Amino acid sequence: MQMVITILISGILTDNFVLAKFLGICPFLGVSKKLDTAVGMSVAVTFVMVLATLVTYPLYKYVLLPKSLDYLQTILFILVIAGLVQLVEVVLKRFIPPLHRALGIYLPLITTNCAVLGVTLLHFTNANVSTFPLALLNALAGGLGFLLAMVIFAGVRGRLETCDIPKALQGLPITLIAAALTSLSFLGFAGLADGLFG
Amino acid sequence: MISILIPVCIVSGVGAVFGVILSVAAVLLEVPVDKKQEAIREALPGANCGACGYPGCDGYAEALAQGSVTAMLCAPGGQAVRTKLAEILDLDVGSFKQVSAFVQCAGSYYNTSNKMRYVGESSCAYANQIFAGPWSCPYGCLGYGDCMAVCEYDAIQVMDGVAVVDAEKCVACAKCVAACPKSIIAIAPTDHTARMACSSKDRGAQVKQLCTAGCIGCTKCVKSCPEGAIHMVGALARVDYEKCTGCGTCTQSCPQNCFEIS
Repeated sequence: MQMVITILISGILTDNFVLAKFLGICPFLGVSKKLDTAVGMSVAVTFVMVLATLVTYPLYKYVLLPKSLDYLQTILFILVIAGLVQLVEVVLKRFIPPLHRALGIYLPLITTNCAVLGVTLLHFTNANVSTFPLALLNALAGGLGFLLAMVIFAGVRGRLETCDIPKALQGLPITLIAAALTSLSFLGFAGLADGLFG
Repeated sequence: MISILIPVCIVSGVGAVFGVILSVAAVLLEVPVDKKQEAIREALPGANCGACGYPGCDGYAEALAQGSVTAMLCAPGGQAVRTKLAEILDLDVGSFKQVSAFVQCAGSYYNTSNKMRYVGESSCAYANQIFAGPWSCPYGCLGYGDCMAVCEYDAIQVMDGVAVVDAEKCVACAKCVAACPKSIIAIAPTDHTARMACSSKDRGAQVKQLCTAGCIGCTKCVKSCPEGAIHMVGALARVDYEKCTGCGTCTQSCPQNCFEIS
């Protein structure tokens, strides 16, 4: 139970994939202009993260590691994730058209998103993640952290619209500065997971 | 040798497996798509700008294929896309109408008068808050140019106190439609169509006092139109663009000269 809470807190707050680890900056800056597209994108990313972990974790642990082929993990994970996402898109289009219309446009965008690859690769360097269910939980936490970061930043960008910004900083520069400050604010959570259970 | 062969086989194996799965899925789980809709979608620019009012080029292609819209709403497409679409939809290019914005008001300095002296921010949105603006007609164009400010194509100008759209430059992006606080700008077909330049909900003598070019609600246009394309909304005449053939009968029957044929 302790491990569950530690993983959730570290995945969502302390080691947030976007704001602490700087993965997935492209969708973070690109899709966070409106709240509904931000939420749609985050849900799609969470789904792909969990699905990718579902396939890549056993692949690494039971196929690559025993044969000491762990150096293949990057290329194989990319291959698997890309193939999986394409498959999911085709299945969605055929069986759940409304969901495809809502999330479908984001799926090709996150096929080779570094945040998704990062989640699958970083399971194995995370001391807290020792079993398969915990890895799935970590992936879910990563996705929820992504959602949190996107929603917060969508709000920040909404506020920026009504601000008086100097001409030189309008557009991308002020967005990047705002992102940096948001990331800085998440530093406040440092040490939360470690200190929680003594 | 073996140590190189095994990883090569594993990676190629996984790639091949996924290739097979995806090919099979693409065939088995194929969603039947309307060939016409596909052809339409191919012809559209694919910018997904939303100027047509539909959710992206896919949305507009679907609406065109199903026949729920017969107007040329694609602004970035221009003449080239219009001809291609008319060909696919089997329509005469002339009847596949190009649209542009139109200001439904002819209340220039010559036609109206002031009801008060307005001293304030030179913006339609602000002036509209003070007793519906300083001009005599409460429904008409205020002329402070909020529409001009948002137009990125220089297509709308305020001339003699009323906004006028240059149809050649207009791409029907509808930004002016949203910017007008009186909501009197509408998107209408550009050629061979009658467009009605008044938005006054008042009738008869009251309108004549306020503006010399306003609709008095006499319904002469409704009775004279050979296609039955004009109907009254309260005391205001409105044209149904789907039925209008641009014959010009309304321009001759209207005593206030409210109609113009493009």
